[in-house]
Amino acid sequence: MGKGKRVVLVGRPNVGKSVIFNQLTSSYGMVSNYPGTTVEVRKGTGEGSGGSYQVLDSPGIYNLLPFSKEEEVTLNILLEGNIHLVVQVVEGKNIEKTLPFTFQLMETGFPLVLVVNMLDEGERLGIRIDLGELEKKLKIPVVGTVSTRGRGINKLKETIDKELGKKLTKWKIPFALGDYPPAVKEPLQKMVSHMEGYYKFNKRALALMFLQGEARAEEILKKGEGRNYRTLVKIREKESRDFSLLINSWRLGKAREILQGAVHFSREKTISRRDLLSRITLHPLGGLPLLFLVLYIGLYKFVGIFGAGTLVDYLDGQIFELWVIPHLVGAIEHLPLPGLKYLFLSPYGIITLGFRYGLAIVLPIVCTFFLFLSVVEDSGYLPRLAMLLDRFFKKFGLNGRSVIPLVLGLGCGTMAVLSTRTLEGERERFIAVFLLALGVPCSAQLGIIMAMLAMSPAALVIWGAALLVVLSVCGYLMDKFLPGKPSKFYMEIPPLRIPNPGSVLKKTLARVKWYMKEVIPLFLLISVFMVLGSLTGLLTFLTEISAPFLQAMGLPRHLASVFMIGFFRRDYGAAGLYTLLREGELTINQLLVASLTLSLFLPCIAQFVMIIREQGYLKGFIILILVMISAFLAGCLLNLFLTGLSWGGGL
Amino acid sequence: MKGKVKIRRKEMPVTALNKGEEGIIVKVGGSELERRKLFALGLLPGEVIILEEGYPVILLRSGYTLAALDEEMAKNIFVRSLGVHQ
Repeated sequence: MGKGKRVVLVGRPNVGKSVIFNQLTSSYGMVSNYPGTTVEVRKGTGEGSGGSYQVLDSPGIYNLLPFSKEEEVTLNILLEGNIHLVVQVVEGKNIEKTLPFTFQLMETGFPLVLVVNMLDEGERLGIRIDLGELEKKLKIPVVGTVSTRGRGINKLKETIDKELGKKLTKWKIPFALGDYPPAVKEPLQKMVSHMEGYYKFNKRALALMFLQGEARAEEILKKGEGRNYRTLVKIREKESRDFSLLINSWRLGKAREILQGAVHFSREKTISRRDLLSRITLHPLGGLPLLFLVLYIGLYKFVGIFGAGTLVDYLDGQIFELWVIPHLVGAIEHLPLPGLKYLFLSPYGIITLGFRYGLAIVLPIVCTFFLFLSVVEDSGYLPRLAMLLDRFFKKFGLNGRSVIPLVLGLGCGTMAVLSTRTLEGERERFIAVFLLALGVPCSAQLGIIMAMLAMSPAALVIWGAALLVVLSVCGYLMDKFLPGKPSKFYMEIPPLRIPNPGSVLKKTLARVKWYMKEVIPLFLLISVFMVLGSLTGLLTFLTEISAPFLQAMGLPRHLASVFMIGFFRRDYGAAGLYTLLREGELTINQLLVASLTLSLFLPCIAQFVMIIREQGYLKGFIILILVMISAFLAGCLLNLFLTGLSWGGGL
Repeated sequence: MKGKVKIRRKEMPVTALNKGEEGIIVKVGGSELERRKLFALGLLPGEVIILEEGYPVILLRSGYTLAALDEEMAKNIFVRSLGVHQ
């Protein structure tokens, strides 16, 4: 009976929707403790007694009035997604603050199941919720869960199954909670009785959103009502009332009324050790040192030294060089076609370049970075970081919220560009996408550059400082020249949580899978392209053209091919530098300039495609040109600076 | 006229509270969109908040929700102080 039906999960950020999604659908998905990972709606299949049903996981949302492009996604699903059941996930301890959203969902008339998650967290604070009582008062099914430990999930599955099996009734009066105060109720009734259009959404709910000036509701009503729309506007304007305040206050008051007797507080909360750590991370004097500690241990030690050093050395040096390549050489030599050998094993060949870089160099770095990122995310640290860096980011036309895409950019720039949707304004999205394209090195690139420069700590510091200077100057100039101001910062800070190993692992796997699906085919394509380029002389031609530019930066001309590869994948270009360094063809100064320019240079092709998708052709090409100019200028300046310091051949 | 000045009862922006001081929200100003954001975080007139931290952003605790706001956003919230929370 539930076959082919659609269930959507909604709720605030950080309440465990994605964990529940994983458990309902037994599929890989990204879960995280910050807004922004569920930028695209994930779909999975759940199994019920009446057949399978589709489950959708939506981006976190506070109520039905969205603030960012990402939040609009959730509203759109509800407005247009042909939904059969809405499952709202709330946090046990925060139920009072989220119940108003529950009312809003009830008002839409969709069948609704309320999931009270993280019961254990509430219990630790001495909050006991009487779910049966709540169910009786709200008149909708209520299920309690501790999703990370699987508690209550079976009950939830049964409830969903039962709800989907029910015959869909006509919109009923939303709930038996009474009605809004007359100041709202009267204009509301008047509006509903004047509405003539046909809507998939409940008229009363639509009218309520309209009263609060929600843009999407205005748009829908304008379309649905035609000329009649003016009547609705008149009703709203007639008694210039503060509808937002009236409606929200009533809902919160109602929430309190319902929770009376359903929620029990048994003891005052005590300051636990986690609370103390939480306090330290919130304090500027504690937060910044902790940030450096996290970066040092996580990024430098784990990703840089272990991932890009130990693991890459082993995979590349041992497995590929001593085992895979000799065996394949043996196998391919027996093949009749000599062209094949060239295609597979020449310096740009599919195996020597494509598979080796992809699997032996990039994969270990990407895996370690995503593992690190998943732990940091699930612990609830990122919103704290956003908060600490807000003032700093305002100088570049961004606000604390942009920390999330920028940090994600250290993993994969393509993914990060997608997540700029969590930012509110066009202006911030543009600046963030530009900075990501310009100078946020992705994990593979970062790892390789760190490994290369690791032999000279001074070089690593210069590279890092130069990169920060370029990013800061460009961000500062953007803020100065673009019209407008950074938007104001607001964010809910979730509690610190001990990451659940299962969910961390699942998320890391999902991300690595996403990355590899994009990387491997691209790598192979590039190999073919490079082989063809070197056979037809195209590569030589391009090298000739770029020679003067390279010379200006004090770089040898054969680096042109490295930059060329760099456009396809930035990490790939960095890997090319790595080979040159091993063969002793570069001085440390040249390496520094090349590393910086390459970090700044064009975004990889996958990222560029994503930029076009998110920002359009015009802005995409503006970004491209700006990035090229800045990279070249920065390379020249760094070269001048380094030669000025006359370190000669080496640091 | 003169009797109105009661220091503890004065309405002031939340940014004027001391660290650890409790206040009851009396008014939320700013643009419609900004007010909606604050309402979504549960910062409504009648709610009791504690100022947890004033720098680098304003940290307000209300119930079990912790909200971080920048100064521009926070100065639109007006409170009446309830003194230092025990």
